[in-house]
Amino acid sequence: MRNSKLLTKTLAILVLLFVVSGLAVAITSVWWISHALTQQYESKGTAIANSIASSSVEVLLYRDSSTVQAMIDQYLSIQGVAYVFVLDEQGDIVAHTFAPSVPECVRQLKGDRHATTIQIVDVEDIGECIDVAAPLLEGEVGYVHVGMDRRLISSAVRTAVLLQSAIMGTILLVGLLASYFLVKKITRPLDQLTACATELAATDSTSEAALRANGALVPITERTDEVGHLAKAFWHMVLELSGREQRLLHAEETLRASESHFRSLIENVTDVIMKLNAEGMANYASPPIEHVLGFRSEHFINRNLLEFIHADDNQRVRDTLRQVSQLAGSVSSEEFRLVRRDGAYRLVDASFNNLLADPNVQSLIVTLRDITEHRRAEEMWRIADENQRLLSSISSILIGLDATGRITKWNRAAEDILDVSSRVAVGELLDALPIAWDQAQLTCCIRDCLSLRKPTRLEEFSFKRRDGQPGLLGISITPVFGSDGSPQGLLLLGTDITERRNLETQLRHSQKLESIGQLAAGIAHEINTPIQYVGDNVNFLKGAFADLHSVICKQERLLAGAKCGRLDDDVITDVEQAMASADLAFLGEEVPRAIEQTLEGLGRVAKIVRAMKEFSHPGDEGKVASNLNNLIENTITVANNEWKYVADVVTDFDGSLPLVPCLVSEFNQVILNLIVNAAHAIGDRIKDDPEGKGRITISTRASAESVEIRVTDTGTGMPESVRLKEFDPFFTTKPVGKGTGQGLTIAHAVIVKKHGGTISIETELGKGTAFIIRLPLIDPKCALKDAPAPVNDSASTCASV
Amino acid sequence: MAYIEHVNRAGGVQGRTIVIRAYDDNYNPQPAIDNTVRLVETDNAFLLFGYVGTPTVTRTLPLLKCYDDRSVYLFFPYTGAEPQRQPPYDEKVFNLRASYGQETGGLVDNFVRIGRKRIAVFYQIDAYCRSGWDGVRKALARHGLRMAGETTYKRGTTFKESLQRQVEILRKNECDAIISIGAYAACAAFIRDARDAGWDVPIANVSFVGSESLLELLLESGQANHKDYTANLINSQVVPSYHNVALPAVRQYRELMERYDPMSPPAFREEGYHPMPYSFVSFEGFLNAKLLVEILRKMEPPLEAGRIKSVVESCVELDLGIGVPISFGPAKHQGLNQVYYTVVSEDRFVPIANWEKWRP
Repeated sequence: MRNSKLLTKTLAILVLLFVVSGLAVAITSVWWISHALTQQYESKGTAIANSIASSSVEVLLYRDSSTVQAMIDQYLSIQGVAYVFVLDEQGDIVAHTFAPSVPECVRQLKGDRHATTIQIVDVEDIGECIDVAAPLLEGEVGYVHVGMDRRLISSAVRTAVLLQSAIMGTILLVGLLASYFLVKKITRPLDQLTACATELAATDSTSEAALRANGALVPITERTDEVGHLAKAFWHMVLELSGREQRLLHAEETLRASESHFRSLIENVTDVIMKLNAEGMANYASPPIEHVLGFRSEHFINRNLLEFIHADDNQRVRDTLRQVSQLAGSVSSEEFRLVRRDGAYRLVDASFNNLLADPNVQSLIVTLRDITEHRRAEEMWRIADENQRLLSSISSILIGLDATGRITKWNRAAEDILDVSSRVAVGELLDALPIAWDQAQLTCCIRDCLSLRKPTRLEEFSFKRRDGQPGLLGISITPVFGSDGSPQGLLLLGTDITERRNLETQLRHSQKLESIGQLAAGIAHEINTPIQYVGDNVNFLKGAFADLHSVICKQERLLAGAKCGRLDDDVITDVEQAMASADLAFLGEEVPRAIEQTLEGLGRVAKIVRAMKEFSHPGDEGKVASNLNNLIENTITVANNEWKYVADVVTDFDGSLPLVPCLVSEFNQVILNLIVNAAHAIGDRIKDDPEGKGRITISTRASAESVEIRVTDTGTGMPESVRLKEFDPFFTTKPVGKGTGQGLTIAHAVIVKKHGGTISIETELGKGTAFIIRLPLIDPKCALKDAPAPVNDSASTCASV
Repeated sequence: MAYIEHVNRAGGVQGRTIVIRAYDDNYNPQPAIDNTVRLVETDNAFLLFGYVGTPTVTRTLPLLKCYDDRSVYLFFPYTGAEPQRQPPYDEKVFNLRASYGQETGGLVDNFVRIGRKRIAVFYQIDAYCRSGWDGVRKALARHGLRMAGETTYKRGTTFKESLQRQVEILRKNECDAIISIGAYAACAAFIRDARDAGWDVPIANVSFVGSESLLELLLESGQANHKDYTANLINSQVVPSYHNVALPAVRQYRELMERYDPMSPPAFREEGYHPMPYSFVSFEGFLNAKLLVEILRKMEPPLEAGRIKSVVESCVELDLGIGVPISFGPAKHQGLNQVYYTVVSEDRFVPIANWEKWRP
């Protein structure tokens, strides 16, 4: 509230009076206190100085400044004493109390020989002091100076002035408050009236202002003085104004209610309704705009609709907008994308209606409908349909099972191969369908898949084909998990591999023929060598026999003559000649050796023939428990010609090797392939060194569950790139005509697929290669058959998932 | 303490053991006077021993005069002040150590001899140091010289406080030697500030400063500031160095200190107070005690207070084992007049070999 002039003036005079009187009192008291204290200190200093002067004469005469020092130290503790020092008769200071040094100004002080003198000095470090100088024995011995600290006086004065000011200030404050309230009593009602009038002039609502003024004005109207009359007249005027205003407000209220009714209609439809000017600038948008664009409707106002349209659609909508706005009453609709606040797109269907000419609207009315979700759903339907067609057109069997084991999907290939239509199959349990296959084995495999929670595979699963012939299926069973990781069912993917198996069998056969053909020449050579020297020996024996025979004949004649007692010299000479020409000693030595050699040659031939016979063991007899050492030995023999020019074969057999169930013919083939490969590798290595020879080591070892066969060569070894592809069909590093590229592929197929074993390679470039075969002692297929396989309970198995 | 203990264990003096009746005066004159009165009136002592400090001793002197009829004597106070060496009190006191006048006088003589004639004094503004100051003044006057400057500090100044103003005052006076008379903390602070200001003027301290405490402070802060504060530092001593084991007294002192490891009387022991194993002050105390025992031995029984003065005054050429004979006489109550000058070398005090190194 603004202070009235009356009040200000009264208070100003009051303050002035106080300041003047306060100052007068302060000055007087400062002068008085300072005067009195100075006098007091001067007399105190004089007393001390005289006391020291009278007592130190004797000490000084003794020249004992130490005792003087002890004495003046005592006086220093008296209140107000700033320093004491004593001069000797030469004016030298013999004792003092200054630290760190005697100020220059005190050295200048001179005393009176006959009286105590008082003067004011300004001492550095201490301040202004009253110096009292007293002579010792009329100055004959020296002088004593005592300094009284004047700062104590000024501090006492300062305290007094402060105290006085505080008291004066308090009185002034009380006086001011009292006069303030007194004057206020008159000026306040006048101020209030003025304020009410000002407020009435400024405010929009007279009645509210009147209500507020009521509390302040009514007490004033009750006064009987002039102020009271003025207040009454003023109050009547206010009431009249307020009445008129009420009537005006009521009319306005009715109008507003009707407007809000229509507005709520617009704002509660899900479509967005907006008003644009001819350029596209929005001056209204209904609240659903927030769902579409992410902006609140008030933020959309005064922005151009075109700003929010996708760049690709912008020009098109711009054109439409221009067209519509050119012709009053025209309507057009358009589909375009809007850019949301977060950058995503919304597809909207918009209709533009030109109401620029309508005096009540004067805008383009645009209705937007968000059709994004609708479009998305349509798109999803289309994709789903396409998937369906894709699945039905693949040539593999595709069967879907749900979590309870019921069939949910049965594609065209399944219908064709298994001869069951999807109409029959879907909704049924798999084992309830009339399909000629080993249901128990399949159920077992499904159970494995469910318990391991990972895909399993059935190789060469037998079934009866549509034409009644036996066929083979390869089936993969894959668990299907939901997005939360829970099992949702299974997917069976099957392929008819009958044709492929047939082709593979043929291929294997042809490879065998190839190797036998290849071996044949070598074996012929192997047999030829012993046969040749057997022939030679027999020829030799033939000649030897002829010679012996002629000796024997001649000896018979001799014998006959001897019996008759007639020994002709002719006959004896004849016998001797025959024996000499036959060289009996030579024959006695060579004939047994020739026979020995011949028998050995025949043995070798027999061995080769036997090995050959066993190697080409007729197949398709199923697995036979075999002595692998023997099989390998045979194969080494058969392949003799393949390796003997390049390498020595060293065998390191485990004599305790148990009998291993195996397909003899196939196994032989594998070992042969490995030996031939090893020989070739060594051949490549020693190509440039006809004298050098490599070594092929074949070892067997038994362990608890398997046997290990290791074929090691000292050949070229193979680089990583070759090693990785080594078991691929048709992969070969040999020149055209030397290999089919099938050898190791077949080895792999035989060991892994037919025997359930493993084959691996250890190789080092330039050092050699080792092929390691492990065969299980127990046929895995037999083991599977032995396992307890519950029949026809896949439903219960699946239900337990 | 160690020596008296040693004597008592060896059977005492003439079969009587020495009893120590100790009271603490806290280096303040008033308790010193009270304690003296108590010793004389209550404890009937006539032999006062081991008094320390100028203010305390000088204020006690008049009491001795009061007890003139009881023949009370003060033996070997630890102060070099003049009053007990001057009439009228000199007859009641026997001194062993040289006076401050002799110490400061000796320092002044040596400085003047090597050509350092502008000598200034840094001192504590009290009676003890005034007597030292007076000694310097008088010694200078003998050479016809005046003090080149003087500066003071208040008693109780600690090592932490800065004394740069004092250093500046003396430096302005262009003095070439400083004699410092005060307590070890302030003296060490002054030396530190002078050296920190780059002023390497020789600074000499008198025996009473507490040489070992001063050295300890200087070494400690020197190590912290990586400076050598002990260069050009001279300390005058009134007894020979306790490192000089050539002296029989030093050997005995070291042996007895090792053996008895004396502490203050139990009533005055402070927690955490570890006295230095050896010091000039304790060696002085040892010599005082030894001399006292020698004197007591000289007394024929019975021990009578009245005879003590004549016994002491009849001592001639007593050998304490410090290479200097001690004699007293009716006009000679001062035992030793030797002043020993030391400098710091390898963190300990060694005698000054040659003053010439400070010749400007």
